[in-house]
Amino acid sequence: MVIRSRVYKGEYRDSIFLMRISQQLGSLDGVRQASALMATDANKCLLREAGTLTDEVERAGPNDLAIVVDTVSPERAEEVISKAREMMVEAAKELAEKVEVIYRTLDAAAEARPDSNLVLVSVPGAFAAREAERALELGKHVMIFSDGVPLENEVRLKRIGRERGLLVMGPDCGTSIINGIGLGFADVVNRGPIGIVAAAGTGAQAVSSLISAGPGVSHVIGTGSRDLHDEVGGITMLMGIQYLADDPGTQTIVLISKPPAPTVSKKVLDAAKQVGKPIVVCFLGGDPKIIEEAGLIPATTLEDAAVKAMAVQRGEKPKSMIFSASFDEVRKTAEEEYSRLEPGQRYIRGIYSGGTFCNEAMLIVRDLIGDAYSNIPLKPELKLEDSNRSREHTFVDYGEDEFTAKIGKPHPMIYHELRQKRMLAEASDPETAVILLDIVLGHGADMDPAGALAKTIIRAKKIAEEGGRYLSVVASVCGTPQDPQDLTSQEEKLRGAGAVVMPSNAQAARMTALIATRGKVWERMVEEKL
Amino acid sequence: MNKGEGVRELGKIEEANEKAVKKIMEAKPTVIGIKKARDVIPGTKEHMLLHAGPPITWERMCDPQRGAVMGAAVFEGWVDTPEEAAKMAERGEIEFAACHDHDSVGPMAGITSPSMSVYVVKNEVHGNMAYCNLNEGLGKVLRYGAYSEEVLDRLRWMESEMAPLLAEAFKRSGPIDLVGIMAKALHMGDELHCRNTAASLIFLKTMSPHMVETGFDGKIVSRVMEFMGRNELTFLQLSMAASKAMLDAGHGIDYSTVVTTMTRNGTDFGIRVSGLPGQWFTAPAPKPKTLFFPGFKEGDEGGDIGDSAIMETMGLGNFACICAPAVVQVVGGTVKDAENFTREMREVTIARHKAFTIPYMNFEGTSLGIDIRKVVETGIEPSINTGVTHKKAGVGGVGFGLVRAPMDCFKKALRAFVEKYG
Amino acid sequence: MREPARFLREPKIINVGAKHFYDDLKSQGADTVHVDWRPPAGGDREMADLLDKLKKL
Repeated sequence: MVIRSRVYKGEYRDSIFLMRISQQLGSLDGVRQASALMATDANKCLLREAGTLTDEVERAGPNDLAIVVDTVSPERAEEVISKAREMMVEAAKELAEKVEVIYRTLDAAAEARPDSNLVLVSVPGAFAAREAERALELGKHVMIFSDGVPLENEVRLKRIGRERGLLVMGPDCGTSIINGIGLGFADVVNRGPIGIVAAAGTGAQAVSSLISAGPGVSHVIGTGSRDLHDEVGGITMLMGIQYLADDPGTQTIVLISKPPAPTVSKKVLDAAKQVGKPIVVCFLGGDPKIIEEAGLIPATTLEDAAVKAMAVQRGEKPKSMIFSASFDEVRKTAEEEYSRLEPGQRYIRGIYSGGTFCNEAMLIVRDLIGDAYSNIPLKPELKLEDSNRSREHTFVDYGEDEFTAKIGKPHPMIYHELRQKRMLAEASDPETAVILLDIVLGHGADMDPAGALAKTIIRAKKIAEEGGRYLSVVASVCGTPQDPQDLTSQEEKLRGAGAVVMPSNAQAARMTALIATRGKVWERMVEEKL
Repeated sequence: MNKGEGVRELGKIEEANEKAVKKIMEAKPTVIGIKKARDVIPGTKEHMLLHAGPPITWERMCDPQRGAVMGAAVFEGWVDTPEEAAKMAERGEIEFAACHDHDSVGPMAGITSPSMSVYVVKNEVHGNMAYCNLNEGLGKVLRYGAYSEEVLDRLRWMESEMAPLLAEAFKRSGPIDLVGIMAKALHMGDELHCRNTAASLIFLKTMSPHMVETGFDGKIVSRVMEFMGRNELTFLQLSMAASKAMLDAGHGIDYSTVVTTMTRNGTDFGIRVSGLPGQWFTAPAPKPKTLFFPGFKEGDEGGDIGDSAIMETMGLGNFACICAPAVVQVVGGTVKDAENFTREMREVTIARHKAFTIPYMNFEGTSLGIDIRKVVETGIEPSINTGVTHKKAGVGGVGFGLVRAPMDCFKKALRAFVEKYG
Repeated sequence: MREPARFLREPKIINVGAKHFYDDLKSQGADTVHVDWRPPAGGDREMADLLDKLKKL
């Protein structure tokens, strides 16, 4: 194989764009590997590990664009590089022709559109605070999709925002839906009276998608993952609650977060108490008592939050739900799966794209079976030594930095390769009983994630079969039928590949617990409503 | 809940810049006459030639500019042949100075010699003056580095018939407001750098009755009017002198980061900044991306040259290229290209002109006040529509082109600015 | 209850960064413009520091 590179000095392209180019190049004939990337230290490190770092790219800097290809021949390498160039020129042309006006700076765009009121920032983390601060100076609300923004900057930005009455969603805010417009990763939801404030992007997507099938969603305000930390003090969640309290289109409110710092928790619950609209609070893994004591409605899972909010909105008494299908049906499905397992197949292997889903699944499995290892463990001692190697019940979040920012790969909602590799590795492990997957649809996500993963499911099952075993695969899809990917057809693709598809991540986690324990946890599950 | 627009105190720089653009916009350049360079341009002396661009020595001077020097020395009668002129320059017997340092501007090579006639432009509001020689047309002309007999003959004719006639005509016309003509021309398809067609015709129309009235021989009047009417760049010199007069009004304001000069001599590209008077910031002059006249090809073009980038400094020329659909070929071929340039240049400027407006963009004002901070921060190099010389002396113009002001000029200026004020 | 926020009723969005999000916003019929963002001063640290110094004047 022949490795060739080309460096374009001082040309900047956003990482999502470059990843798409890389993917397209990688699928060309005679190409073993192709990367289009900015020559940052992290990216160079990645190339070095892959053995494709050339001297030219080594010498390039973080503002230089590099194309690196590994192909069958030098001629092919040249062809692929010029193809890459063509694609970039084409994209630039498209930008010039299709976008009404090209602005190069926020200032210029703001000058041309003085009535704009919200700035969505998705520039590299090191620069995000600067753009966000400018947005606030210009009197605009801001959503910072970027992560990697230092905590002290988040605190400063949010304080400026609070002082000026401007909302700072993020940093690391994956999802917001404002007046039906999805920002970042968001599902296409039906409009309605339930508003959401969420510190977790996938959490917001799950709850809004489920509510979309019921009364519908007014707004989703994302706060960013650190908003409820002590240092930030929940500034955005508190403002978000106030916005939804003041919004005549919102009648019921859902709050979603990991358990906040105790002082922050108190502030949030105190504020929520004052609103005068029913509020469902889901502090995933937190103590429901303090919520009840505050006169609010606690929810244990994302689905539980959605179900309770919809019940309250309809004027019904909020109640818990374990499975949407009949118990008989669920037991039958579980039995069909576990009856085919070998005695040695004992463990659940969760391979996740959404951190909140991963966390939620571990909480459910902990209550039903016990501890699970993870790269985002519930207890420090359950941390995987090597995230790439499973141990007993294991749950891996592929949205973590170690799989994205640190190695220059895009989020697993866009890019499946790492999860696919892990699925095949788990399939070869004779101790794996069941693989658990999440799939997230909506704007921002890949156009056919189920299609990509279905192929891998088939291969994984084949690998197990060749080892004389049956492999169970359980999945849930977060999305709506109106999403560009269409929830129904995505679920069909997974079923077609032999996966058990559950209507929510919580139900999928329960199903894996049933399968891995051969139905032993059934009674506890039903009695204790876990 | 939203308090709306962020209220922010103006920093010293913002205040200074506002003052600078205010003065530039208040300025009222008028052309009041035609005089010999030696009689009006301050600091000129015998055996001294003014040139375009930042200051330069004969040794570093590019070929086309040397060609113009040689032609001018023969025209002045200092020597008999261009070869002797070159020797005279080598011996250091010709003194060189930048037009810009002498209240003047000169397109392309910009060589202005003592006995050449220049337009006298006065800023009636602030009293400062600006000067520029007369336009010779396109092709084989002195400003493009040609120096043949034909070139010199034309210059002599301009001095013997055109300049005296115009000088008399100006006495009758009184001061002519240049902003008015320029503003109109922007609405008639000129961007006032590569295209001055409408402005030239308005100027000719304005001058015609006065030229006839002078009582000069009808044949002379006819020849001059024919020459001015045929030359679509007649008004360029006045666009430039007017811009120079306006921009100089905004020069020398403490704390201002506004660029008041961009210019080139074929070897260096140089800028001056309002808050840094007396200093030039230079970088090697780039080669323009050129649309060639028939008969010329890629590789023939010389380095970027001329004081005419004063037009872009003023926010016209390329900055207003959407005004001139007829010359979009220069900027890429489509009207959309022209619009994108015009929009992009808004990112490096701080104000919008009140008198110069853009019909295609709902009569928004043209960009004004290039800010060195914005250029450095955005990485957007100001773009310039420009005439292009042949790289060799004696050949002349080869086409029109597009060029970017080198970032290094702005970086150097920013360093100096921080050193002075930081 | 106070006056509800304008941006909730009528979001007008400036997208700074990933073009992909702009395309998504457009496809939803949002009122939005795109900023084709580049690193300030082309990533030149010295220049970025100088610019920051001037901000304090």
